[in-house]
Amino acid sequence: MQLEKGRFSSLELLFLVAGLMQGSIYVSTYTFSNTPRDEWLALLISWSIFLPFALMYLKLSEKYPGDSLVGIHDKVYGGLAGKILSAVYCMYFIISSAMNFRFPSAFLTINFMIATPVIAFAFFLVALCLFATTAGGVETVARLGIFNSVAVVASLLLYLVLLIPKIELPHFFPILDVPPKKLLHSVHIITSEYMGELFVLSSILPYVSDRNLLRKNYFRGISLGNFSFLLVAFLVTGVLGNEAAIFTGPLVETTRLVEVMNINARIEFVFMGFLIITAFYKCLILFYVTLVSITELLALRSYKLFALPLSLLIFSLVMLTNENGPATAAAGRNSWAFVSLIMLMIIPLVTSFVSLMKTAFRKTGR
Amino acid sequence: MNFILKLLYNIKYGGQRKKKPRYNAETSAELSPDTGGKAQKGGAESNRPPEPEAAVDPSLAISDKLDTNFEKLKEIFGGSGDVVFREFYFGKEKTLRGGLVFIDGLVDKTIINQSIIKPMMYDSSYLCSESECEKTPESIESSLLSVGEVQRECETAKLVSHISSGDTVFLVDGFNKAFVISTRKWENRGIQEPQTEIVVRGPREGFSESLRINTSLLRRKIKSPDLTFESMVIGQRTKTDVCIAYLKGVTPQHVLEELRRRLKAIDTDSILESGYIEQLIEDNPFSLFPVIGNTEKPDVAAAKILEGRAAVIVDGTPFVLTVPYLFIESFQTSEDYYMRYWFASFLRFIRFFAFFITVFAPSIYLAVLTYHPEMIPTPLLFTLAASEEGLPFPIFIEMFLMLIVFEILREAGVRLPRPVGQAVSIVGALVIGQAAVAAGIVSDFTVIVIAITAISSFCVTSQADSGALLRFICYFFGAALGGFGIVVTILWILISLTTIRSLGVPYLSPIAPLVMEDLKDALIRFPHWKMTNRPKSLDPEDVRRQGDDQMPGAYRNEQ
Amino acid sequence: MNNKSWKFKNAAVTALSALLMLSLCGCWSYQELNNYSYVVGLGIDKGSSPGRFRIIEQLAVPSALKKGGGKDGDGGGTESFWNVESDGDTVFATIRDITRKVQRKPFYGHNKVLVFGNEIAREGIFPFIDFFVRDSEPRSTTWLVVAKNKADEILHHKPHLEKIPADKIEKILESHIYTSSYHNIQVREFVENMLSEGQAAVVPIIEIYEQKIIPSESKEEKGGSSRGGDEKKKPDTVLMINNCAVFKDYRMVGQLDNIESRSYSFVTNNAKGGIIVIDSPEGKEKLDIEFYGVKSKIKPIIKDEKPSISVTVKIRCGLADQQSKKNYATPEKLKKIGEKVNAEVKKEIMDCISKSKEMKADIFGFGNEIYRKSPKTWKKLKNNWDEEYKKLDVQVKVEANVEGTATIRSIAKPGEDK
Repeated sequence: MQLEKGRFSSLELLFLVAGLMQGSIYVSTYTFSNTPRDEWLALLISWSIFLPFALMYLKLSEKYPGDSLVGIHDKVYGGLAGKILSAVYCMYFIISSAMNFRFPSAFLTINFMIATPVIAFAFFLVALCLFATTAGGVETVARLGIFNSVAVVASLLLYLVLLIPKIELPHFFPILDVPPKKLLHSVHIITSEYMGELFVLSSILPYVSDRNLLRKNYFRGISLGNFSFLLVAFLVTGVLGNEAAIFTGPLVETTRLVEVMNINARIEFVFMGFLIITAFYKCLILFYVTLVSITELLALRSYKLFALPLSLLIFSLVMLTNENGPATAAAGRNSWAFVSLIMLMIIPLVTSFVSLMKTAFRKTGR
Repeated sequence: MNFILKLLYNIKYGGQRKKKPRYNAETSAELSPDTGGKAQKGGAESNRPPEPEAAVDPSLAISDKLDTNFEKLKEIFGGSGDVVFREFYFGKEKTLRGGLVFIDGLVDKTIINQSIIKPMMYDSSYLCSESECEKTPESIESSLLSVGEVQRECETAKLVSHISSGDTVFLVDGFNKAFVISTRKWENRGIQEPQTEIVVRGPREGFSESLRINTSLLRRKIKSPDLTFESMVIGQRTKTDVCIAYLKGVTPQHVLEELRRRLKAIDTDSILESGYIEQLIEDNPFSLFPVIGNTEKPDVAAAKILEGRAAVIVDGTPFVLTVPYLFIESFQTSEDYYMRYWFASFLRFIRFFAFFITVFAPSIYLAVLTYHPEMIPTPLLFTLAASEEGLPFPIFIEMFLMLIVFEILREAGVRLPRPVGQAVSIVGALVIGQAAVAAGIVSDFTVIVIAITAISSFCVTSQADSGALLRFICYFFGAALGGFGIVVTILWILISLTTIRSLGVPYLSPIAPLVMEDLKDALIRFPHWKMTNRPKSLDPEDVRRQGDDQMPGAYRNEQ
Repeated sequence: MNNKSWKFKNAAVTALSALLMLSLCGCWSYQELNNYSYVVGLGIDKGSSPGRFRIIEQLAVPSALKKGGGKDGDGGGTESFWNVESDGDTVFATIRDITRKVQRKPFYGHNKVLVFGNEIAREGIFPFIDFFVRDSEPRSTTWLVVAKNKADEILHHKPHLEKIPADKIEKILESHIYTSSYHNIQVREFVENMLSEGQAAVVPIIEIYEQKIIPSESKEEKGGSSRGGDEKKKPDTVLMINNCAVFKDYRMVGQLDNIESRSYSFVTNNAKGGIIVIDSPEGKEKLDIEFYGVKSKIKPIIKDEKPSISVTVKIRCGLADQQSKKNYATPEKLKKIGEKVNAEVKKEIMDCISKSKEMKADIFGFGNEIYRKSPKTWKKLKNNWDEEYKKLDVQVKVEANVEGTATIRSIAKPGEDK
């Protein structure tokens, strides 16, 4: 069952996927405190671990074209079990959206504009998401992708060029001397939180219009997202070295150090702009996916009616989680990674396995 | 509140509510003729408010008595002094009586005298009255009326509309059909250089207020017989002639059908300018940005038609509408294509940058000064702080005042008569700026920023109106939330832009739904020899516009 | 009511709430430019009683600093800066306390210089550094210097060319590229050094140097400034950077003099230009060699779990000034000069290394290099690095390439320059 008539091409899917991954750049602070020097290694390991999962998500969507997450669960698990599972997923998405709205707001408050409360930032992000989904729909979400990706990649390259005098290659050495527990923790966080988010695409893939280029562009998008991560890791480690472990926002600190011709250029203003755009895009995608999932679960005809209540719900959740910021951050680092692992990687594995068995039974059962 | 509005509407229209079809993303996305307006089309016609000429039954034909017809026409036109009724006798032994009705000032008197009255009076002696020979009307039409266009009409309403447009009606006593002779001619401005689109290189002809002149200008640009003009009349009292121009076989059918449907659904009294039509057929009536382009130059209109768009020419205004209109077109000028592509691409970037400056410069200045003073280099910061010392208003108010003053100056500069205008606008800007700084009301940096904003706003003229509004919105958000506010505004603008469609084509093509083939003309301009296909986002029927290997070069010509 | 009114409702609700939000809140972080006072320099000194310390803030006066000079008619009478001080226990509390004396909120985003008094430096500056790294307003690119005596006299000293002492300190620090006898260090780099394995940092020491010039009357400013009467006898003073302090574990443990600091710059790849004075190959007169490009490589060699370091320094230089009449512009003579340079620089570097071994401060980062090369060896040495560093075997090799003698060969008469 499809909720809207909008379609977008697979080229836009590329930027959507990349945008979803790039939105986690600011959250990469968690992993820098574990592995300040070997972030790139953790990224490469996660990339290779994650690729089969990405293929699995794609195959699952291709097997049930036209069905989003709720529909797939219905078909694989039957009526009641599928609905319960989809309900659990909806709860997960709501909480995940709330956390994702909270992160950039808190980040901005701490690093840039100290006096403004977190609520103000979160309010405007939520309001923009509301506007984008009611006035636009999936087409708007897809079309914003290219702006986001261009902004992020351009700003990262700009910073690379400006920070070359400050990058010291000895910061990367020694290469493989990293406590394995910390490396595992970083890999865990990266795979389940940053890359696992791609599972939400199962609600968006039904709206892609040309399916023949789908696979190519999907993987190209993942590569673009990972490339941005690697660039960030390279920049932060190169400039800050071991010091990256003490900062709550290593990337911001790196940008503060830009010096053009011995003048402190102080262009972190620009960085803040791109950061907000990126974070907003990820929040928008999650918001849209939450909206679509809940609407399909409740079997409503259109999701636009539900957008306003959902935005109020998420906004109040943001206010609640903001009451205890450090606990949320700690949760994001530790417990939420496990929840994401289960929800975004293990259960889809089970789902595809069950669906494979079903098709096998159907073939042999006849 | 809604109830009150409903009540007022009912009072005005006497219980007959008309539904207009809504063009939003959902209906535009399909653009098939079966959706939307079909049910309403019939409804529109039957629920139309009664016509102003309540006295005339529209379907009543003219009678074959000349006097009755004259009486009726005199009654319809009231006592207007410029409607001329001319009777004369012609035919064999001057037995036939005929009459001309025309409006002085709208007709070419030479044609009437030389080609209608003269042959009727002098050369018609072989004609007999209808009771004797039946071929009289044909011979009148085919042998005597030496005029280019002659039609036959038998409905009074249509005769009235023809007379109002400048045709001459020739009534013959005894025939129940009238001849409508095209004799339109009136004073007009002629072909002059357009005031709003000034170019350095390129033709300087501009459209004029007369529909026929405009169509002739287009015909001279595109001599192919595929160039089709479809006429229609819109506006019940103004009865404005409107004409859709397109290239058959290039412009896609769905665009044309949708355009026709929307134009036919317009139900209004007056169409005085193409802007009325533009605002009545928009896809997104609440958007800030224009979705229908206009131009005053025939070469621009011809280029757009050749790419697969349709043009709407409206009588009475030199501004021709082009649909569909994309955001990227505001940054393209005709000169871009006549210049070489390196400089043209550079100018495109300058225009984008100028648009960015004109919308965001005041708010960036404000946000950086008040929310992020660490961004400013230290020496500049001290100069700024020193210049703000002792000023009565906070920067927010200062800047806002200067923005308002700039808008006032701009509007005044447009309306002033020519000899005075230049001097006053320059004097106004300089003197007001300098005096305000010297008097200690504003700081000089504010004046500089406003001046830059003002100059940049004239770089991209077609977005000047939306740019001005966006500037204010961005300013308020920047004042409230600093850098974050500016980014929120940018995002809001981007989201609005991506939800707008222009006759079904997404507004930000080729960038937002990324169409790789069309990027040749979006941010930079590829050379002419590279642009072999028409823009894919317009979905033209004939995709190729030039041959493959068009790159020039000495070595090639040797082959 | 048609069912499409949700769109308008949504839009109306969002717009209304956004407007309300904007109007009710009142722009939290909004501050006019002249509600701030701009801190350009900070100094920390020992306080009146033990456990307390003084903070001196240097604030800029924008109206005197804007382009075009101060207000007309004053001609230098308006001070471009003023200093404020306060006593306290912890840094942030003291800084907030200062707002009781300053009518506008101090803004630290443009702070250029952080000066530590000598006594505080010897006791340890760890309690004071945390604020400058943690808070987002002061920037971690602030320059760090240690004062010879007290920080406040450095910050009170009125410079000649610049308007603010902090400016002058910054400019002096930037001119290290001309002598390479000190290295300007930022707070960020300092903290990074302290966080690295076993490393020490080198910070320039700034002092007030009395010149033996007594200013004459004609240099008095117009407008009746306070220099008159017995001020005539007071000699002119300038700020100068002399020697460098060695910090280990946030505490100053010793000093390096100018030549040793230059060797430090050589080894850590921070030397950008300067003059080396050597004896001529004949041994009688002195030659000035100007170097303009120094590259050094520190290579750890691990043999049987026993590390040793090999330092290779490559210098590009040229003969800039000579006192003798000889003509050194031949390849053999230049080679001899090069060998002399090698010997001299090697001696200086070995001196510096032995001094740092005395201080048990690994300023060059040898430990770090060992760690990068072989983490296992480092794990064994880590805990006892002070002693191990003393025993560390360092081989220094200097390769100087004397490229030329600038524009002339010799100003002696043609027969005398053999």
